[in-house]
Amino acid sequence: MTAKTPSFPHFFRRKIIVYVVTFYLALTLIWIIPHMMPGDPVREKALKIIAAGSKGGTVPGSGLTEVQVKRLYEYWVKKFGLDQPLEVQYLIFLKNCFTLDLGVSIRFHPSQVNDLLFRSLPWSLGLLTPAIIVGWILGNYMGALAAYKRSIFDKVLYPLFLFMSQMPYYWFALILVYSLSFHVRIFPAAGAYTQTLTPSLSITFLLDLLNHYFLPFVSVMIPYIGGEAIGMRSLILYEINSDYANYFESLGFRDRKLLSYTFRNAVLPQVTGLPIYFASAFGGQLVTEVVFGYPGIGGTLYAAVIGQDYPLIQGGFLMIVIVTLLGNFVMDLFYAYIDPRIRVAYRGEK
Amino acid sequence: MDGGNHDILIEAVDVKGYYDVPKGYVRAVDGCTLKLRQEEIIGIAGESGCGKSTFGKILMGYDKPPLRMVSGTITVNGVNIYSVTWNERKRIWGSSIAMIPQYSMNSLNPTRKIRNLIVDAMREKFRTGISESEMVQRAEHRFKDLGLSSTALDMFPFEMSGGMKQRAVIAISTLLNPKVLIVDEPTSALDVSTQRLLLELLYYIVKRKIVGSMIIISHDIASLRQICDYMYIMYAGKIAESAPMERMIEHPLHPYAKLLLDAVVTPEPEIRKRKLEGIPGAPPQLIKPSIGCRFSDRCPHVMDRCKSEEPPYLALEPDRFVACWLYGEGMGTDARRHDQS
Amino acid sequence: MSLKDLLRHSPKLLVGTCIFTFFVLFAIFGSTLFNVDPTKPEFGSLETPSFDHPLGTDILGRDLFAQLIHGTGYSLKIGIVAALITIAIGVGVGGIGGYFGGIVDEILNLASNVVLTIPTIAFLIVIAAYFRVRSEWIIILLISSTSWGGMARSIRSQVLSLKTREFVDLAKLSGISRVRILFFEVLPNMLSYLVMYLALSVAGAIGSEAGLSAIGLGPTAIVSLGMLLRWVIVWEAVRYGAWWWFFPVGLTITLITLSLLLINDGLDQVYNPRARRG
Repeated sequence: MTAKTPSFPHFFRRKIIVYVVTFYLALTLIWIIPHMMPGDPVREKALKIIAAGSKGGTVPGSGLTEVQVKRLYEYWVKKFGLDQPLEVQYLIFLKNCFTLDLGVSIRFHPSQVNDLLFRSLPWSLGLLTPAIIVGWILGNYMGALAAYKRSIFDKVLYPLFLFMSQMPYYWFALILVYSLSFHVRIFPAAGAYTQTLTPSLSITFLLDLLNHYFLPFVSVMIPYIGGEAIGMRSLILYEINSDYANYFESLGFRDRKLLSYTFRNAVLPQVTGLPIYFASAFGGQLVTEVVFGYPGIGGTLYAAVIGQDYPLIQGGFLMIVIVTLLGNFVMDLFYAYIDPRIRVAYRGEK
Repeated sequence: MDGGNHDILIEAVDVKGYYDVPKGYVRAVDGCTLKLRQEEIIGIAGESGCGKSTFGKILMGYDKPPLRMVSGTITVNGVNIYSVTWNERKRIWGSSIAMIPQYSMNSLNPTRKIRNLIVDAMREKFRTGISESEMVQRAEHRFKDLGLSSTALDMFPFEMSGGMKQRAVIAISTLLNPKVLIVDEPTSALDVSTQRLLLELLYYIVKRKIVGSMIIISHDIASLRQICDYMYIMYAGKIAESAPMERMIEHPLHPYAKLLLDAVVTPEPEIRKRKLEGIPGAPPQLIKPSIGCRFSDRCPHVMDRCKSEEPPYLALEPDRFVACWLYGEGMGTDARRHDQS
Repeated sequence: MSLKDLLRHSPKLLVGTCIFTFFVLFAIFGSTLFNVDPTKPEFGSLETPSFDHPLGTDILGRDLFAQLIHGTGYSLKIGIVAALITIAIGVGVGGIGGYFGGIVDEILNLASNVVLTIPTIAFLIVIAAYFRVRSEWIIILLISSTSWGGMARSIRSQVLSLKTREFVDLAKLSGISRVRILFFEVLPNMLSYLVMYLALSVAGAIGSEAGLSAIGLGPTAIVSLGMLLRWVIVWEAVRYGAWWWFFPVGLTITLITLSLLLINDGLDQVYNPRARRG
């Protein structure tokens, strides 16, 4: 008699399988691909270091002293089991990932990979989170406005939002730096704070922080507003033309009431989409951080990539995977809570 | 049913309603005239695509773009509905005149419980006074009348069956006991036994004075026959014939009406269906209607005049109208004697 | 509906198609009309736009207009090929899973969901980092192997709904003709859907390639639009205030992806009546 809806536990069971498989597969791929390539780059780098270490010399270009290289070589052989068969190396790798024992960075020796990552994390989060929250609110509001008002309003806003949503983040960042930092010297071009100041909770420092924060913040927020606006606009248009909207209008419902109905139904997917976007943006703000010299995860990962710092690359990726999967999971929880169909099924189970 | 003007609830005169689409104008209603009286149940019948649903919307003033009322007048309760703004029309919608749309099962807000929908509807219409618990009480009462248990009130639409949803829509549309109820294709998507129950319900609604008069739009003439007092048969945007139900069944005049009703008289549904599909040819497109009578290419009695001139919609008796050259001016009584079938 | 009708009915489709076609033609015929080698540093450094050099020159003295022409060509090529492969994989996986059902479907569906969930950009960056030399084809394969998840899911649900419709018709004992009608009605609709998804995939692929190249992980031997932006960053064009250097490139990328989205939206309007008012 009732419609077929997925039951609550069943709903989550499937999702969790996907997440576990994804986690495992992503890590495996990250490990396997370099080892399967001709001239396994990880091994090569390690061998270079080992060779230098065993001879007691240095590896040119890595910025390490003789002593550091020797220590690194010993450490690596022990830690990654480089003298062991591949299968064992793989298991060691997995164990390291699960225990979050990610080793020492090559580029930033002797810092631990973990430390580097966790130090970068707050910068990325601090940049992303407010930008996304403000952007979400503004974007959905304006998208809804364009959809409800239509006419010239919409004809102008729609192409504008579309443009905003398609701009490459980093290109927009360049434009911002050029116009507001080079051309008209309002904001600084790079860095999270002026290097000569010591980080503290003083007003001067905080103001300086904000000063450096502004451009990166805008460069993340504006394209996001465009995307949200476009999405919300089409969701609202879909609801406005639905059978129930027409029916209740024919019963004489005022525009305000109809708006509340359609808006609530349209905003649902936008709310659940937030954590997903956050998770994907987390890995993608890379270039923005590079352009602005902002010391977030993206900037760190970039430095790792450039410097062929494989432990750091793997660690950074692991962190991004975890954040992404967490984001997806949070979204699933939201969705289950908000969508009455899932909620009711859950109640029914009890 | 006396002829006094004061009891005519809806009067439509030569109404034209077109859809404004990129390809041009779809002339869904192309010059139709209709009268609805107190305590009357009218049926509007025709093939799908003939414009009857559109006519229903136009009649209550619901010409939402791309639909547009192009010409003619419609008077609802003495008010010329198209001389009044959209928002002013909203005041009588739901209270004096209400519609039950086609596919009514999809017409409920999927994320809202039925009881909240009802409270919303009542608040929209009453603005002041009644408390929420009283509203729910009234709703429960009405639900019982319609054969719905009051547990339905606490359900979401997706938890209800199609039949339950339809009844819920009927309940919501009739909450304020509108004087006119327009029902669009109530029986499509229902099986025969449920159809019968629904028709009984609709009849009951009128007889118990929950609504005043009713207009039922359907392609299923057999169903209409069971409860309607008066019948309009539409073809390609125009009214082919209209007459009191019994007269229409006994002696249809328009060739199209004859073919339609022939099929109805046969009881077996399979044979009936075959006969309906058996009218050769296809209904014309409403975007570029042909010259002359729209039925001419499928009419068994077609004459030369039919292909070049559109027949006018004339009264043959005070209560009976036909648009056909067989009965055109000057041919009145002759035609009727001529026509024996 | 003929192509002309389609274009007339939807202004979005018209505008999108025009813009996209413009860039395609620009890429194909640009070098014949403006025959300058984009890699030769023969001209003055950082010259502003002039008649000889419509977009000026970069710091090494290379003509920027020629760079744009070649860059557009490579980006379009990579984007379109990657998108075609993505769709092929997506249709294959979704179609097979949906049609055969059972455990095959479970596995394929799981695979699609996993591919969808993996953080694409990060994954691409990390993998690309392991390749010291990256050909066009490696980039194309990387992009397409990570983007087919969404398409596979959509195709699968379409195939599933098709299957149930057939059963319903069989139940009504209507015979072969109905199935044939379904076939001829469904196929044109699927076609429009595939074109829509193609437009989206190309837009996505171009964006991914641009993103990869901008950080230096794109094709090593090719100068795509993303690579041009990379040069802007590496050579610090902004520091020299050379707006003519970085502005047109990003604008091109934006307009190309924008036009593809318009095409997608326009087709959606025509084929999905509910969105028509939009």
